[in-house]
Amino acid sequence: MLRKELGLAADCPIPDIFKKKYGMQAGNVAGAGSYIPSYKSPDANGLTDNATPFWMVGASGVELEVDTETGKVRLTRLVNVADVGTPINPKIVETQISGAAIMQLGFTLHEKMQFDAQGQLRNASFAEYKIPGMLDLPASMVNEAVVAEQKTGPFGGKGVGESGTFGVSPAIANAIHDAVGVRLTALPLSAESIWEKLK
Amino acid sequence: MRREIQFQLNGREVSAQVAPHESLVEVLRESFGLYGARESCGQGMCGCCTVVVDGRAVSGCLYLATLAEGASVSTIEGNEELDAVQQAFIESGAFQCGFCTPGFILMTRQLLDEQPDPDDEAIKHYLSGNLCRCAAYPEIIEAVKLAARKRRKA
Repeated sequence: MLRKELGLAADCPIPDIFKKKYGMQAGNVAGAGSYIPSYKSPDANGLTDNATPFWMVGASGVELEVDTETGKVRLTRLVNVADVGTPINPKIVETQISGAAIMQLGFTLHEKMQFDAQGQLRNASFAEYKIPGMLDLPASMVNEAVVAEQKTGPFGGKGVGESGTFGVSPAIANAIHDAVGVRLTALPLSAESIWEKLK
Repeated sequence: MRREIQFQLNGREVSAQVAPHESLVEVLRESFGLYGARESCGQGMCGCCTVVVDGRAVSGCLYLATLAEGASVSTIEGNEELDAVQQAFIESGAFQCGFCTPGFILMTRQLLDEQPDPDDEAIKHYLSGNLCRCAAYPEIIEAVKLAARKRRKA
């Protein structure tokens, strides 16, 4: 719009538009804005008619292998699809779907906080609480952002930080059941818990 | 019980008063205001505190500062202009929060010094000691390959 107003070519770079509009040679563009979601905190009975500014919508599918001697699971393919509203920064949105899914992969297969009877955390270190590293990536991964305007959100956008998470655990649990007939209903779906049921 | 040590930091001769138990990352932060190396796990398991001592990447949280006496230490702040690896990380969007990024960049430089054209497996194994809670791993692998191409072209 600014390009048109200033009579600049459609491919004129953004820095040049600002130079023309504001007469600056260089400098920073700073601005402030706010968006207050319509969320209402629950009342004393835990009820609210507006529990969240948006709901996450998406799905995950997975192909995996289970080692029937050890219970170890290896993901050969993970596909995640999420409704992302209107992506404001599409590249970061993609990274967020992918990152959220890999984080959930950790919660699904390895991560478990262990508390003793006094409520003391017993495994508060990366030595005993394993989060995913490079070698835990699925052999193949596909992430797809489905654009769908969020009418209540700023610029049609919505929060997307964890929209890649929620399909991953059930998809893996179902795939394990499909592969070896073991139905697990508590996370993490550790090699040990699978092996226990395979015996 | 503090004693003075002298070493080279990002190309400059410096000295610092260090206590026997202080780690290199503590001294970098407290005496030199260098915050690029971050202590995360404090156990040498995550790579966030990576610094380079005499040409080798080490965990700054486990490396006693007193051992840096006479050594050449470099950090993510060491170069004035962005190098090929830093450019590649930016172009590939290889992070979300950026907390682990300095460690990944220093390890990637060392990887590319040793293997100028690493494949996915080589990258994964070399960087398996660096953790990223945002799990930007696929983008990091892309960044490493892009950095390798940029370096070969230069």
